[in-house]
Amino acid sequence: MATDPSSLLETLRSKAMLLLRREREVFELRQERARIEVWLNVFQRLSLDFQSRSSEDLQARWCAAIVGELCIQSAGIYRIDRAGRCARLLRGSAQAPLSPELPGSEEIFGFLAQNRSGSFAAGAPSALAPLAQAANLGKLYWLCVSVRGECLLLLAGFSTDTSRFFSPNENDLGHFVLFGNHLGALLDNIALIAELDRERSDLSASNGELDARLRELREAQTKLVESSQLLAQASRRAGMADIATGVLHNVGNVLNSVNVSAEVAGGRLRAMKIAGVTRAAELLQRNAATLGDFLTHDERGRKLPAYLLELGAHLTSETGAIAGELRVLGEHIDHIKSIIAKQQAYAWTAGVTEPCALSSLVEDALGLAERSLAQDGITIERDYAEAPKVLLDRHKVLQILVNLLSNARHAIADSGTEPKRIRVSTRLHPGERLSLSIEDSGVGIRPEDMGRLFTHGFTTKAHGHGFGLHTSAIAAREMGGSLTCESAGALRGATFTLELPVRAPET
Amino acid sequence: MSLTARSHITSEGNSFETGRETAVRLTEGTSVLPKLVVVYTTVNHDQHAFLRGLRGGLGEDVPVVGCSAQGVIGAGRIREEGYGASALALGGDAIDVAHGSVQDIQVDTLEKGKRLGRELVAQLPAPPKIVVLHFDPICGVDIGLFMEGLHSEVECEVVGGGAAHSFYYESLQTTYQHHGDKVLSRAAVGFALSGGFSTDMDICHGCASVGVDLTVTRSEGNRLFELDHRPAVEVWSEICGPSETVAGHLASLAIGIPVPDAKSEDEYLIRAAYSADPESGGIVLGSHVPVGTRIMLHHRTVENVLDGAARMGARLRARLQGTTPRAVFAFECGARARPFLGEAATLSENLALQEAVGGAGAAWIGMMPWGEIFPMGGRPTFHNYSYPLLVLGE
Repeated sequence: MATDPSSLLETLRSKAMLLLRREREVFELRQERARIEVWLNVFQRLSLDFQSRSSEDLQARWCAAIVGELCIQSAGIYRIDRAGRCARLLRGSAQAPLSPELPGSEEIFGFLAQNRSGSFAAGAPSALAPLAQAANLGKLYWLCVSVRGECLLLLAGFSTDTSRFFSPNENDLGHFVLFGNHLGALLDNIALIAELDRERSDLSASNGELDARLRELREAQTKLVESSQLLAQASRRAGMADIATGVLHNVGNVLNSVNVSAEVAGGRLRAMKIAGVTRAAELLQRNAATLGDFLTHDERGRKLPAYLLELGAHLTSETGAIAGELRVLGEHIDHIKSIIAKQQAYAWTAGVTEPCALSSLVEDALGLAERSLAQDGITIERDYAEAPKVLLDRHKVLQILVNLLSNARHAIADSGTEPKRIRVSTRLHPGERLSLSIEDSGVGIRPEDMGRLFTHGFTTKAHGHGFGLHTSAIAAREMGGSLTCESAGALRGATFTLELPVRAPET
Repeated sequence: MSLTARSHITSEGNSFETGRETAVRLTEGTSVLPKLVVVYTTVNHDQHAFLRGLRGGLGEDVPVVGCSAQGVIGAGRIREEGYGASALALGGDAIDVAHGSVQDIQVDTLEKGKRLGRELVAQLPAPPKIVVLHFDPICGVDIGLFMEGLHSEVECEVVGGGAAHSFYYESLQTTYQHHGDKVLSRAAVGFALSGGFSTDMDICHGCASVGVDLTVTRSEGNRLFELDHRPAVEVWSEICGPSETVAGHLASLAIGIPVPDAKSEDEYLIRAAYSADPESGGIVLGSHVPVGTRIMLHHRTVENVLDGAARMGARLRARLQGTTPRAVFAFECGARARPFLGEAATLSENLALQEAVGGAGAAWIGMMPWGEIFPMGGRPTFHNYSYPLLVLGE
């Protein structure tokens, strides 16, 4: 290291010069940083408007930002109309309005197609000279951007009067191109956002309609539930009516016998010679004083003992007959009691499963219907397979069987054919299912009716309500089973089969 | 006796409308016309259109004086580059106003200065207290010589600044000076004030010597041809290195010229170069540098610049105790503001000064000039990289 004063001075001088040079470099870097900061401000101003939903508004703000923040005097956005060979001003800065229309030519459009961006200064040979002149710009930056299929020409520059004060440079051109492309992207986004908004709006409308339909559906569903409940109640009433009809029929039959017995007993009572006893007693009372003489000498007295003997025999005989009738009457009343007791056994067990022997259940159903069937001359054939007790809803199964037997009776009655026959059979199938079939020799089912046999309201009976089979099918489904029908056609009988899952009672 | 002042700053474009709107804002709410309107505009504005708009709003009788600037300063705002205009209206019975202009100041410079001085003095009922001067600094004028002539007539303090245009120029073009409805170039315009008001002023710069001195071995007026017997341009390039921009090359180096009658050897006038002429090897300065002058190379730091402004504000605040500032004129060198301090620091610096000197009670107008004028040693003196402030108060 030099120590003499002149060397030290030279060293200090060199360092000072180096310092100045570095500061000059820093000064230039500061300029560049300042320019970048300005452009960043411009970007920020436009980005703040990212939420803008209007292309026009965004374009206007782009122009205002580029002129407001920079020393640039004018900015504008033109739409290139190649067909019209011109560029029309879409939006321009308010500070120094640009020409509303710029003339175009194949040369200009060709140049722009080849050179998407650049800078231009008046006097320089360029295809853009006529365009710059028409825009009254002495120096300008340009950028072509494609937005949704349209070609936009972005211009920013200085008027011919003042352009000499400014020197466009490559860095600013780079920033301008970035800023212009940023605008293009935002314009594209706005179109996309608008599209999204439209779709969102459409979707919202669709959702509204869907909601309305859903509300209608819910209301319909509510009504359906209410209807189903009403239907269930009606069906239940109908089922109960079927059972009640059987019960009443049987009770009515027994009541006939009760009436007959009562009539017989009444007739016998009325025919009993009770008055003769009274008359004999009065005769004896009138002749009490001379009873011996009366019984031996009087004509009526001598006949009285024989009359009394005959009367006693008569009364004894009649009393026995009446007692016999009263016993028969008691039997009839007991029969009615048993019918009612059987019906009551099913009356309050709906929805409750209990161990049942299917054949026993069938017999109960037949028991309810047997008088009616017998009255119509229908013979019953039984074919029960051996099966263990299973868990069943007795009420539902009985309701189904009574309904099927009632239908079979009517079908047989309507057919007028002989022999009148119902065959009842049960089967236990592999796969834990059992079936019960009721086959009749009735009118059969036409093929065209087969598909709607179980639908609500369908009936072939003149006074039917169409609940029976529908309700029976529903009840079968509720028990996890099914109710099906087969028929070879009209007048060829029908077979209804109730199939149920086997659920063994817990031991 | 009162002094009234109102100011307005705008960044709107459309020069004619902005001029008219400025007039409306300066005069609204009062039926008394101002005695003078001072206006500074950036070169983005169509200067003629702006003045036509201003005239349309002010009427025929209000004098207008001003110039173009690199940027403008107003109450609470600055606007550098782009569209900017700042204006101030002066009025009241405490003030008398004179205004004038001379053209082609690069020739017969001394005489032109005297002529303007005589014109100003002639309009006033009393000797002027202060003259504010603007001029074209790039027309080649030796503004030191011009001010010598001016001062010999007005015999008062002179402040002001050189008109300017955009900092980011490719080459120096022209600057504008406003007088009445005229837009001038190669001219000097100014106004003088007399009356029952007070003036105060201060200056700061923030330059420091780096300890390297050079001797002027050949110069002509404000053109510096040789330093240590070498072409000045060559020396300049050697110091600064290659630069892509003229502004960057010139505005980064300050040279210090010893102050005449300096109390210490450390007192320097700060000068910057306006342009370089590779053919002649000359550097154009704002004012003359005599042969034999030992110039000292200076540099600036942001901290020193901001600290200098803060201390200036504090000094003025202390001196203005008991005075009500009505109007403040600010001349912050264009090479200090955005190019050196950056926009945010420049705004912060100016807001702090406005708070220190007058607050919201004073009307503010300012410009970013190319070269500042501030009195030193009893004479108007040309400076660079500085920030003079003039305060008119009651």
